[in-house]
Amino acid sequence: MSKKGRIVAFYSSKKTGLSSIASVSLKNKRKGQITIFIIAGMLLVAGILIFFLFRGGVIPEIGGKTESNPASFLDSCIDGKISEAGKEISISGGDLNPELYINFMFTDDGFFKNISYLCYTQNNFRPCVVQKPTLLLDMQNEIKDYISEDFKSCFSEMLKDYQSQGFYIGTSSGLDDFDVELEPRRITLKTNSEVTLTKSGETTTEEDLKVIVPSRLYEIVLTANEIASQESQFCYFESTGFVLAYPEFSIDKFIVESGVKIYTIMNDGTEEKFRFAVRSCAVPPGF
Amino acid sequence: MKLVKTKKSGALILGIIALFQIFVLTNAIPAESYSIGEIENAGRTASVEKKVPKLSPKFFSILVSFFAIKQIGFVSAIDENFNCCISGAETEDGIATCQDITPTQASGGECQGQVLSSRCEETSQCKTGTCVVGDGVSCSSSPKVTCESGGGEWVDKTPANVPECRRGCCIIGSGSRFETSTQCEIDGGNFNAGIGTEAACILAGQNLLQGACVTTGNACTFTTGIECGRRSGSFFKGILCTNSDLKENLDVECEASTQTTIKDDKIYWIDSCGNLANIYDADKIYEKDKSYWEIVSPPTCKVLDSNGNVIKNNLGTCGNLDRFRGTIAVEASEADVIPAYGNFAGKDLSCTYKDSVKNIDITKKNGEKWCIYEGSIGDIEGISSDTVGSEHWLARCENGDLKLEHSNYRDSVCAQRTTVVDLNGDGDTNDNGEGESFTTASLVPNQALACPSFNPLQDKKGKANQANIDACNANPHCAVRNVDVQKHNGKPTFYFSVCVPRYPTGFDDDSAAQTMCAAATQKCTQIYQKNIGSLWGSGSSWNDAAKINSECGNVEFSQKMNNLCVSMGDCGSYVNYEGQGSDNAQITYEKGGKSGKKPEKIPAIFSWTNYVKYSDRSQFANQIISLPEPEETSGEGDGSTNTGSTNQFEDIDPMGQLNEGFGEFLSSIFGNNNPTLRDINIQNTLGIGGTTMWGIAQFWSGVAPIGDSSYLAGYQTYTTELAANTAKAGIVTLFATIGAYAGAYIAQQLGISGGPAQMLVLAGGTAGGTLSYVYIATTSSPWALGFGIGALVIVGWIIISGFGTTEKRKINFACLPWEAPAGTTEADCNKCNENELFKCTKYRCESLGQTCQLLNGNTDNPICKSVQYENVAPVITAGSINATGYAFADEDVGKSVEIESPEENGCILEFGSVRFTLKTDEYAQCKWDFVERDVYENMENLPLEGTDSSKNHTFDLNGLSLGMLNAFDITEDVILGLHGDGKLYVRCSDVHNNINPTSYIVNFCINEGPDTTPVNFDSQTGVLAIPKNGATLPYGTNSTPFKIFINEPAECKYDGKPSTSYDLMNNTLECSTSPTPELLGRWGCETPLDNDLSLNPGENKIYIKCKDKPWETNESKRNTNVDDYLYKLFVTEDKLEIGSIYITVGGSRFDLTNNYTKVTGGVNQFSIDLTAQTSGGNENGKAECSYKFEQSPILYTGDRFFETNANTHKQKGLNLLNGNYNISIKCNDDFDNDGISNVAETSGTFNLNVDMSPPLIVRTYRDGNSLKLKTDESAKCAYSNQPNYCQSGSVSNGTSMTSGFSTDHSTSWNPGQIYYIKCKDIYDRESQLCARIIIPGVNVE
Repeated sequence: MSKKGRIVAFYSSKKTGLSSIASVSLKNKRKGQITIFIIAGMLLVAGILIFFLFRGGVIPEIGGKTESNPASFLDSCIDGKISEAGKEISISGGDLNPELYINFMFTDDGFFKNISYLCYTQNNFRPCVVQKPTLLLDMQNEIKDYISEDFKSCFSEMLKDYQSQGFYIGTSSGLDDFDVELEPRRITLKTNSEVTLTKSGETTTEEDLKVIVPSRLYEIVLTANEIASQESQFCYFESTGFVLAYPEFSIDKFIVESGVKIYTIMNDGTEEKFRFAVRSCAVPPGF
Repeated sequence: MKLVKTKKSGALILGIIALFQIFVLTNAIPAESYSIGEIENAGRTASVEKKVPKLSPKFFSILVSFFAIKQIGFVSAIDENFNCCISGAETEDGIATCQDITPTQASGGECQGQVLSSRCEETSQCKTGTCVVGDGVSCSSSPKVTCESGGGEWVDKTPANVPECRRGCCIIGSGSRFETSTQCEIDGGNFNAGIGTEAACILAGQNLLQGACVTTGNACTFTTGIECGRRSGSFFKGILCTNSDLKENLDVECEASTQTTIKDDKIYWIDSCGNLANIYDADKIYEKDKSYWEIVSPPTCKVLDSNGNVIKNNLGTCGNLDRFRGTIAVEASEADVIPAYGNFAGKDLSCTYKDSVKNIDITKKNGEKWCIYEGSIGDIEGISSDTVGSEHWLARCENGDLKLEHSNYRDSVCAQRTTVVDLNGDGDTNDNGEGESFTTASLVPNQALACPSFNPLQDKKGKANQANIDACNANPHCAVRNVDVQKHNGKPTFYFSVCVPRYPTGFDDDSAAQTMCAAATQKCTQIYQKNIGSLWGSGSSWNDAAKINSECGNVEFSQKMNNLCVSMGDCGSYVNYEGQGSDNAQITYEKGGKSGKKPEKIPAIFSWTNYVKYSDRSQFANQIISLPEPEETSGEGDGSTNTGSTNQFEDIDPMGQLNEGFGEFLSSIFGNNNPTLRDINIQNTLGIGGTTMWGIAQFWSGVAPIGDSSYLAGYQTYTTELAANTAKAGIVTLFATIGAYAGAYIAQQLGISGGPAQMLVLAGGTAGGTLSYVYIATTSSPWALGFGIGALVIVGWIIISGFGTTEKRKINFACLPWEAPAGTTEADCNKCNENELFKCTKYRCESLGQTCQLLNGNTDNPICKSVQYENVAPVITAGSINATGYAFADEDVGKSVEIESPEENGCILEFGSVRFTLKTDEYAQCKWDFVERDVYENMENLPLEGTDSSKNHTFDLNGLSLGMLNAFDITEDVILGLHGDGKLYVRCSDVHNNINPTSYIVNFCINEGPDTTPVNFDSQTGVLAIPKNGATLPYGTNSTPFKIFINEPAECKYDGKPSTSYDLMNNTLECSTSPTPELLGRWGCETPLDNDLSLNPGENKIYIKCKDKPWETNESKRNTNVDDYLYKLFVTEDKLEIGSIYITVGGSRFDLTNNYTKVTGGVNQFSIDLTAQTSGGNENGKAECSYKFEQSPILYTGDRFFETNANTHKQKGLNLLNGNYNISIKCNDDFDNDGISNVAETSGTFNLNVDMSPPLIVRTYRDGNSLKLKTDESAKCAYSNQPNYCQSGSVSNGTSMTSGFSTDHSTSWNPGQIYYIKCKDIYDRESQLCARIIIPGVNVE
């Protein structure tokens, strides 16, 4: 059972206490005496104050700045960056600084991008050679690199925030000790850290904090991988069959010149898109 | 005696010779043909003036291997000279791995890594295998080195042969996906390896629900038999949960409803328990058709007509939809129709586009692919007719979207196949007399370049090379082209066949175009002869008409040659896809050497205007290229096949007619010599006898070299021996022969042929024979002498008069690369941009005119412009200024301009923002800098449009302040060149790379005087603030930090009351006063750490003012805002709350919120639907929710709800094992993705419990004449009076005590009988022995 579960149980017991106070106030109300009302109100207010005072790790939510537990804090701090990383890296073919790319601008983007070749041959009449067969792993590493600094900041911020609220904090593992995994329907940031928060004698421990961001990049990247693989074998990928079978995805193929294509895979639900280039079986005009 | 003996043997020899000569003479007439042929051959072997580059056999071998694949498939790359660059191959596009490079590239340092001497495929590191990631999460064809360096596991097999990569069907919830077992495991689905195709998998996902499953508590679930078995439910195959029998007998309470739901793209009715019923049909509501709610029934309504076309009116009333047939179920708001019932309707996924040719709307079904051409295609009327610039287009209809792909310089051709199919599954493909057609198409590699490799179509002896002809015909992208201009005496004299591309490709390389086109350059040699007129001293008189190849003077020659020329590619006189063209052939001639005369007629060039019709698609609207049937492996013809036959090649002399150009081209394929061609001609013309004699003549004459007319003399000698038939001695024959040879020699030397040549041979032979006879005769022979002298006279006359002399005059056809029309205008080029259907490409653009050029080719929106070549740099002029009161002044066109501000001194205000444009008189790319650079390339900055070519170039000047620099005592050139008077240097490069030699200078000055302008909040791009102005903050937020960015360093304050003077404002912001802007030319001001902005629910307003120049000690010089900047924030007034969460199991709902719910079932696996409902927040409860398993018996993770972004969030089909669960749910309402949202969380616990026990009888009693029982759960009980019933009986073969399933059971009370009772529950759990043995009156009173 996770430590989080223990926190839930703690809330539950406090709420039970609150209910009993409320029931007392109802009895007083039935007496219909204003004084009693006032006393009951005071008791209620006092009860609420006591509740929050002894509640331990509960922190008032101010401006969305802090959250009630480390996982939530991390989540709200880093999930936007993870989404941003996925978006930026995806439209470059899984590599922000590709070594093998075509510089191209799509009107919708409004700027030029270096779009990575996932499958490439410099020769004509030949099928391409897959350049990134481990695209899924590469993407995970790229996203990790992209958010690394922000993750450190968030983690530090989180600790600072709890410190400022009087918590004693114990952590294990370094700030770099996290991984990003593309999984079905989501991107998961997994830390290998353990955070212990102690206040007023009560200790909670969070292990292996996770941040989950809804995303279809996993499915999109596997599709890109498949397209590159088929281009290397057949110089072609049959996209119509794919999008009919999986209508939540669309695949656009932009032909730049003979053999050079830019594929854009898009998920209609999340509007995530992945762009990459292929140069395969090029036939130079005339010869 | 000796003499006599000699004479006898000599007579014998002479007799034989005489006999031989008789045979020869009988063939003298046909020998005319030979004479002509011989002369012509002499012409044919004339010098080759134009050397055409030969096509490398190696090149062809690569091509052939490339095209050996059928359309798409494995490409065999055969080239023995490649090395492998393992890593770091320097290509045009960057650094690549595993690239085949040439030795030259290798030695030239184009590989940074290791170079191996083999092709990559033959090296252990770059050999292609399968890269497996995560035990099959991803599998791709890959070289070993790239796979392993990326962390994958490489297997030396193709993906299909790697067990981890084999795909099967993964059933995930109520859907399916064709993927590997590992992927399926990650997806949380059930893997079925036995379903081996994607289509079968999709079908499997759609056919999972099959009947009513009645479980505990008379709950009914519509599910599969297998699933029902897992739940130990009673399965009623093909029965709906609304079935009346289930209601009556099993107390199932599911009722018909008018609600619908979507399942597998179809719309289904749902019952009151939430189960699927039959497919939605508005005519089948319960009141109208009760029977439709009884059993699973096939739909009777249709949304497609017999031809497979969508009946739009039925989309709101019929849920019988199928995305593979072009319809899909969507929410009513997304549909074009209003559903009669429920919230869902059908949507038509077909695609409609305008066919400009037929001027009609064409509708295509979802998933259809078809070809669109821009004019005529392929082999039409002896021409490979694809017009210049035209591409083959593949159109696809994908889920309602029309998408187009295209060839590139026609490197591929579009082929399609239409199949009549039984789309509706009614077994009839021909409903109402019409078939349901479905079209598929593909862009297949154009094998045009492989076509020349099928040549020669004749062997060296001129015989048809049937294997090659068949190969050419078998290739659907090649055609046999016959050029048949001239015949003589029924025999072709200018005739040849060549294998040419059926769909010729375009060229973007001049040398390639010249090489390919030059292959169709030809010379036609005409033969002219001097006539008899010269005999009578009337001077040189030549026949006006060519004796051979006269028709080369006709237009037919130029037409046929141009057709051949066009067939080679974009060559010759032809048209582009817009019907504009140019003439790109030359017809020249060579005069006769003796007469000095030119050929009788010179044909005109066959004009491009004759081909305009080929650009008119309407005239060829039915053309199509057939796509082979899938099962066929060989290339199939496209309907227009074969024109080459065996017979037509038998009598021709192809190489004989081929002259410079094509002859040279073909000889590179045929071989350089064709010495026996004329032998064939001779054999043909001489007939059988002649053929026989020909062989003997060769023997006798010592095999004269071909092309040498002494050959003719060889046999003409024998004709002169006619006179010698009466000779008495071999000497006579010998001299006659010598005379004939001499005559032939003279004929050859003087170019005499035909009759005159024969006369010379005969006269020479006669003279030799008769005069020698006179000389050796023992008696006077005046007749012989007369013959001899007469013969000599004839010889002399022929020689002197030149009678029969021939000469060659040539007509040359030069096939040149096609040139785009000259004199084009912007309107011509613009046609490329205007076509709504086809995007403009470089090829299409440049084919429209000499001046048409594609700009911005590295974008998805290139533009075709008329760009006349010139070498003049673009002229830069002032454009406009997008800042109030600013203007350009003192412009010196092409040299400089000044920006004047509305300020008194005309300078730009400090920190002012000025956006202005400069214009160029032609499309150009520009760069700018604050200092003059020596060359354009060294300029560092781009205008806002980047590297796009444009005529308008936009620049921004902002964030400039001299005062600030001075204030901070910055003396260095923080901004180079900015010293009060600034200059901005601009140069532009046009499309021809003409660059301004000197920069265009934009002069401006920064206002050094007193800055009288306060902070400008309303900059052009709006005020940047965090949170942004107008943002909505989460419920409960009572304070927040905020930060705004302003256009100059300043000190700022804010207050809750409007129009408060700066000094009286209560709250101070912390502002950056650094000389360097913090963000994009702006300086930030934020709330102090300990003083966040206080907020209330609802709208919050604050008013901000700033005082600039924070470094200024003299307060009077500082500028303070008079007007407030209003900054608003909203705080959500209602908390986002998750009102309830519940699970639905078998149609029963269990609320989870803070309650521990126990759900009991009969199987180990439960199918659970999880639902959460939200309220409050920014959007009245609309939120995005996800769930997570905090506790579960095995590792379950969680996900975003499948249905979310609404008030209700549903996740159907969670397949859970029995055990304890704690599910947490988190929702947020951040729909504007600004990172600020309300978040709500809750959790719930439940227990899934398997009922493993049989029902227990908890009470037995007598009620009147009945024996009654009560069980602890719904059960069915039965009894028997036989004692062995407990051991061997079951409820099913006992006497029933229960109607359906119930906790109450009864039977009649019969004392004296023993009741052996067994019971089973709804999960078929039955006690092994009897549940109870009752003896009335004994253990039950």
